Amino acid sequence: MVSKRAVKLVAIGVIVAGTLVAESRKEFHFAVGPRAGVSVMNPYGSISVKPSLNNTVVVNAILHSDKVEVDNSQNGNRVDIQSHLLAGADADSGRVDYEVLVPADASITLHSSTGSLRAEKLHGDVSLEGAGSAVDVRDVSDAHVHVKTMNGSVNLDNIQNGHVEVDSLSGDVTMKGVNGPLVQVVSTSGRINYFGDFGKSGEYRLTSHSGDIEATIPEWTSPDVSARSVRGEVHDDIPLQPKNHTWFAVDKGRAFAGTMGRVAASSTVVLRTFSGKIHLRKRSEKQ
Amino acid sequence: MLLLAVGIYVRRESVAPPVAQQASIAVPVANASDLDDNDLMQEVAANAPAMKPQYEENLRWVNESIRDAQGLVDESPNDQEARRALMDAYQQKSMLFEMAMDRPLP
Repeated sequence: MVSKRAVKLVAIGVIVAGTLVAESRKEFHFAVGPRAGVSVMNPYGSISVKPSLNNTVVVNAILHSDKVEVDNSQNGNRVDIQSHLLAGADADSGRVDYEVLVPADASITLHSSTGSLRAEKLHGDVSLEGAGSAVDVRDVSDAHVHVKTMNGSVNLDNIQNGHVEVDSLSGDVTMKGVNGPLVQVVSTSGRINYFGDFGKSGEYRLTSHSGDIEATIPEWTSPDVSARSVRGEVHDDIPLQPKNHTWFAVDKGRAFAGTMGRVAASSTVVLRTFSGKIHLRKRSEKQ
Repeated sequence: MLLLAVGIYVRRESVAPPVAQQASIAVPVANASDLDDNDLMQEVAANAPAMKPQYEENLRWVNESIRDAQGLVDESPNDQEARRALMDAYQQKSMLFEMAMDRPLP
């Protein structure tokens, strides 16, 4: 007579075996030249991109069922990867998780509806789009960074000399050490948090219709700052040299404008919200 | 004298009325809850029903932001900040449409 324990062990073994059979791994290699273009379109699942050690694009894909396959193609210096959903696929069975290695100067375009989008240590252009995807970009320099999400959170860390544009309808946007000639964030209801010094020059525009905007900066930096909230409140922890002329009426509690520090203004910082709060905080320690 | 008066009268009638000064940026008429929104939600319901509540919520927020921004522009047509806010709001709605329409097909 077969014991209950044995039956359970057999059942567990069948389930595990079934999972292993359904899940499969694929790996692709592509030789590319300088400034290659790499695109990954993945309806369901995560995509992570890191630099490779040579001029090779390596794609590792974990397919969660046999209802999805990976289409891949190379045209010259451009590599396209696409998760191809088969009949009957859904968000679970159609899921593919990618780990991609690219030359650091490659431009990448990542697209996923769910799952995280990550890119790090690159200096080619980075375009990330995902309705519900959490986006994380770090250690990128001298490049364009474009992010679009519906409600996915956006985290940018150490983006130097970047042309940064973020559009997030309701996802919160957090930036740490993000500097460049242009840093623009537009959100409808997401919160925007900036930790940094607004660089030595550049235009920074942080806008959220109803989300709060908070910027924490050291007191030794000297941007030209203007902040305005139509219906919300503004708070300023840092004394500013007031501006004589502004586009808008500087109503106390609803707006402030001026220059930090006594040296000539470096960057231009514009903080705007319709009904959210704006808070300019002081970080006292020097980097 | 009579001929001069008639001439002045005819000239006055033939001169077109002055065109009212418009805001320097043409802004599309806001129509926050038109049929396009319903088409969008039908698309989402058919292709990504699990995300329908999220799209509904974000569509409501962005339509609200368009109404608010339009109100500011109506109050102050020459306020460049208000017009930019309206453009941003439309851009956000456009992005929402793009995301909803860009659905995976088996």
